[in-house]
Amino acid sequence: MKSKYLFLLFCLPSVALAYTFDANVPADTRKQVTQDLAFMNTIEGSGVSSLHQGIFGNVSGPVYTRFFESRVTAIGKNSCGSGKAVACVIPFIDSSKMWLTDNYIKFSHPQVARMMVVFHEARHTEVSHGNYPHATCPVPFQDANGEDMKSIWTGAPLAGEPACDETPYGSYGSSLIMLKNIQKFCKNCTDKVKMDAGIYADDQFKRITDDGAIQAIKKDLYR
Amino acid sequence: MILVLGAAFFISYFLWSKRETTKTSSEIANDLGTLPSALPEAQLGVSSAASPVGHHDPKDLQKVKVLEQILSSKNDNDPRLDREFIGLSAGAKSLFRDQYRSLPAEKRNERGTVVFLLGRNLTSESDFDFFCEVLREPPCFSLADCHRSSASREDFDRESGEEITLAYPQIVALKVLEKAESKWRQHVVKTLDCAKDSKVGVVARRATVLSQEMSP
Repeated sequence: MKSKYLFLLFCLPSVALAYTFDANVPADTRKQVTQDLAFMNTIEGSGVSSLHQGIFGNVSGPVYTRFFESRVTAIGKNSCGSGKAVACVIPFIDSSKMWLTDNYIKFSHPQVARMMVVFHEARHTEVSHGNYPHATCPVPFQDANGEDMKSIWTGAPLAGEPACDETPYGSYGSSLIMLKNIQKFCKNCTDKVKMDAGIYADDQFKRITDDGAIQAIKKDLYR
Repeated sequence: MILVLGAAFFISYFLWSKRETTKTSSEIANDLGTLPSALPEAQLGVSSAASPVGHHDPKDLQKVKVLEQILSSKNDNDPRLDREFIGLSAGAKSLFRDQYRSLPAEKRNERGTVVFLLGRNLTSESDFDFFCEVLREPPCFSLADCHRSSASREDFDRESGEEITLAYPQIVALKVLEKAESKWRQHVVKTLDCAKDSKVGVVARRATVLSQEMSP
C-alpha cells in the first residue's frame, strides 16, 4: 500500500481527470456520476453486435470511458430548462460540456438508466454530426398497439415533435444499442443491471421511426 | 541539487505518512472495501418500523442490512445482489415486503430492486399476493412526488426513460412473472389479472399481452 502511494506521489502531476467539474456541481452529484462512470469502466463483454462495434467498439469498460471522455470535457450544473431533466448538452453554450441537474441525485432511476441518459447526451456533443439532432416524430405516431404516443405528463401527442431518431446512430439509437449489448453480452454485470439494460433499451427503441433503421437494429440485436 | 531533491523527497514522505494516520473512519472503511455506516434512515427512506428487532431470525435481519447497504450505495452492480438473496426464508421475505412498503413511493429503483429480489424467491402461493399488491398500486405521477401530477409542460425527449422509471416496480414485477417457472403458471396468470385494470398504461398493456400469451 505505501509503495503504491509513493509511486503516485511522483506521478500526480501527470494524472488528471479527462473532464473537469464546475465548482458549483454539488459534491454528492459529483460523487454519484463519478461512481456511475466507474461502474461503466468495469464492464466486460463476451461479444458485441455489429452496430455497437461501429459506434463504440467492443463491449468494454475502457471503450465506454474513452467514448465519454473524448466527447465530454467538462461537467457543470444546470436546470436544463426542465424540472424533469437529469442531464443535457447545450451546444450554443459549449458543445463538449454536459450539464447535470439536481435530479441526477434526487430521482430514483436505476443506475443503468442514469448512464443511458449520460451517454445519450454525450452523443449530442458531436459537432461533426450536427450534434445528432432528433428527428421529428411522424404524424401520426403510434405504438405497436396502434395507440397514439403521448406525453406521460400532459397527454399531448408526440407526433410532429423533435423526439425521435431516423438513424441507429443518433442519441436514442446509440444508447439503446449500448444497453442492448450490455444486456446480451456483459459478463460481469448483475442480473438486475442486465434486466434494466434490456427494459430501457426496448423502450428507447420506440423512438426509432425509420423502417430501415428499425430493421437494421432488429437484425443486429433482436434476433 | 541532490541534497535539495533528497530534502523534498523526505518532506513529501513525511507528509504522506502523517496523512495516512489521520484518515477518517469512512476512508479506512473504503480502503478495506467495506461500506460506510448506514445512512440516516430519513435519507434512505426507511422507517425503523420496517426492521423490528427481537422477533426475527438474526440471519434474516442481516439480509435486510445487506439490502439497505446496497440500496444506499446506488450501485446496482454490487455482486451481492446475485449471491446474497437466493433462498430467502419466509421470515426474510416478510421483512423484505415490509421494507418495500416502508420505502417512499418515489424510491422507484429501491422498490423495484426489492421486487426483483423477491421475484427470485417464489416458493409459495402467498408470494404472488405481494406481486398483486405491487401491480395494483396507483400511478406514480412524478419522480419528485408520486402524488403530484406534473402541471408543467411535457419534455418529450426525456419522457421515454422516465415513463419506465415511474412504473419501474410494476415493470419489474411483470418481468418476474414472465420468467417464473412453468409450475407457477396458474398463479402467474391470476396475478397478471391484478394489472389489467392498472391506470398505468404501460403496465396494463404489458399485463394483457402476457396474460394472452400464457393463457391456455
